[in-house]
Amino acid sequence: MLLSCLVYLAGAVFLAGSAFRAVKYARTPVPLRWELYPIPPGSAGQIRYTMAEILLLRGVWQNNRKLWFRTYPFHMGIYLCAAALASLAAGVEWFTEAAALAGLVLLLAGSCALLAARLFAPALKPYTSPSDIFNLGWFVAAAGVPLAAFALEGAGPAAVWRAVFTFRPAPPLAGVGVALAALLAAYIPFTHMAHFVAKYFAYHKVRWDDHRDPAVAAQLQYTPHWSAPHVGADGKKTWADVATANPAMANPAREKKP
Amino acid sequence: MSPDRYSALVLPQPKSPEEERGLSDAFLRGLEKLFNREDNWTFLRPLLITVEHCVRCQTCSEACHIFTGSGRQEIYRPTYRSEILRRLYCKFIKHRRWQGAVELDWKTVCELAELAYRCNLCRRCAQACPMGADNGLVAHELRKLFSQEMGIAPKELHAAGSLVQLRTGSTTGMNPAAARDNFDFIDQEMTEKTGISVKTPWDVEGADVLLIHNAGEVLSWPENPGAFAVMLTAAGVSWTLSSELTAYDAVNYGLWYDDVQFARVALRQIEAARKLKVKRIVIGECGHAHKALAVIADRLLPSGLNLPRESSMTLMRDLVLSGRLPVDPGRNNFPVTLHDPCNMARLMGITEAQRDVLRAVCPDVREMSPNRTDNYCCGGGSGFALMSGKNFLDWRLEIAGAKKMEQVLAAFADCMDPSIPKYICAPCSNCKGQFRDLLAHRGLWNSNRIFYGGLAELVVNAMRDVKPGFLEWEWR
Repeated sequence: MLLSCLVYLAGAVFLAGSAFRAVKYARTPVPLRWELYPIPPGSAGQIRYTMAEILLLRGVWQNNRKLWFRTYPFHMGIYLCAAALASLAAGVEWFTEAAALAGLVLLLAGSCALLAARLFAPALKPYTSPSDIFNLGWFVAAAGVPLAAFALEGAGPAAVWRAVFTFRPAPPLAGVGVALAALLAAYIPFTHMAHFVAKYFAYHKVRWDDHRDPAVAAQLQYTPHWSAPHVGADGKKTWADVATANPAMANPAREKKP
Repeated sequence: MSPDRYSALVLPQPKSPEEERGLSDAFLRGLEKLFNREDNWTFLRPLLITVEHCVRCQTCSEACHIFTGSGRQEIYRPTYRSEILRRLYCKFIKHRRWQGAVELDWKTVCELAELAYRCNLCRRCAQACPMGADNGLVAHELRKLFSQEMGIAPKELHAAGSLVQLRTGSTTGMNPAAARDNFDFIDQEMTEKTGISVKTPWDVEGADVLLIHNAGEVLSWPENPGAFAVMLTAAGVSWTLSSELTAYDAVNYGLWYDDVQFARVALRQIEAARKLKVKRIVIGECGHAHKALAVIADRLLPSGLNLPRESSMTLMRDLVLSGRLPVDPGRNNFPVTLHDPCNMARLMGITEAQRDVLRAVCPDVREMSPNRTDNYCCGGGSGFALMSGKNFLDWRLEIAGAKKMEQVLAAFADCMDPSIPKYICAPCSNCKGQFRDLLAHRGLWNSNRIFYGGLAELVVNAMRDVKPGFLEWEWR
């Protein structure tokens, strides 16, 4: 019962957290144009590009093949686990079971490979923070425990999740696996791992966005507080005031020494 | 204070603990502003996405010509400076633990200031990033913090750059009268050299085209603005230059380090065009001026100032391919390779117009590899071609320019004999400055006759109506 409540709560937190992050980025001011080419032509081209990124991790394949062999199983494992959960409603037991088991195996392999790289690869190690180890360790546990439950308790993921969703008890080890996965899902939106949200804004609202935006007119009324003398911000002037002023012309003697 | 043995900024060492603390306090204030919407609305969104979502997978490293060109030195990884900024952001702005250790002291501040000038802002790293993170932008934002909060910027870009432009009209220091004198001289020389009577028009109201050159061309490579004058005159284009402050110099150094200076220059350039009631602005052969005026300034402009802005690449393509400028490609009977300025190619998507022109006027065009939007920066981008610092020139030539020289030499591998003149077509002032220094540094003009220049010069050299021999093959 408690486990079921945790799962539903975690699902809600995942959705709310992801939405919160999306709203946070959507509410950031419209930036100056900052495109990066090539830009896929048209909506169809952009959808094709995005699908190849999501399903094949094409960018990693093209630019970092070694990483792709570690991160592709990791991501495909997540996708298969998500597909398995979604397929529960369809009642196709064999598919759910196969997708979940395959997903867990891939996720375990991928997260172990990524963790090993983080710990030992000379290019990655200096840039690895304790939170990176913690996050990947959590993935290892969230994939490994359900597989152990399957091996030791005979608890198939489909049956376990069906039980949890319908408020029926699950075997102990399987229950631990479910709790780990649920808490992980609730945690992800509050970390850098929520790049599934950020990438939308990075591509569609920065790299591929060449539209003029009327919101900028309001942003020009913001008040900058930068301290360097040449800026001429005094806490009252707006961006428009500052941009249309020319202190270099008004006071050339002072401006010689920035 | 410098992370390597070079210095772009030549920052003085603090003389007392108070000065040391003053540096880190000022940096911290700037850091807060960098992540504040009121202060940094211009780039907050991509900056946040980068700082919060870069996973430090190092996929970008191999895309960086500086990292690979340096023999893969750690401090030149695109993520190196970004990781310091990310940790400072987590520690001081978000107050998050477990995100990696970092100390903020004057040494960190001074190192970051120098590191911000070890990136050409070419954004090849961003192109490779599967997350959409942009470590080139991080260098840009650090430069901004140092300039807008602490008044720290390379003298060539700020004190002797954008401030001079806003005061005199041009970063070269040319006031409008001096600019007109220089163009008069260029007109005379072009008339004599080409046989086409050239008179550069100034401040012509209602002209079709307001042409804005990088004024550095006038002093360093006058044949380039001269070639434009010949082309436009011969094709019968209605055009003009403007003598308004900043509008006869397309450069906008603020693009590289300071949003305020950027906006001030861009708005004045556009305002000059509006006053003249021209139909469009055409930007001469200057990569950063293209991006500054055509792209980055776009959202700053109220609708009344949103005049059409066009690249000189497309104008030249129209003139050449339409037959308005009859050409004989045989006059350019030497190997030519094309350098794609990052600002035009990767950052604006202009890749084909210049190739169309080249193919029409040159019989032997060979591509560098990679090219177009995948090109490598020349190493002079983001103002480096202008900067010498303490020994910054050495770094620019030995490290930043290494990858580009590999490309050039590969493109001309089959014709290195000095009896064959070779031409690097670089339609950008900054890139030309870098090629001039690279070729001189390696003696490639003297030993192998590798020359450099713009695109307009090749067009005029091929024009049937022009006396042969426009290109003089004289080193400068």
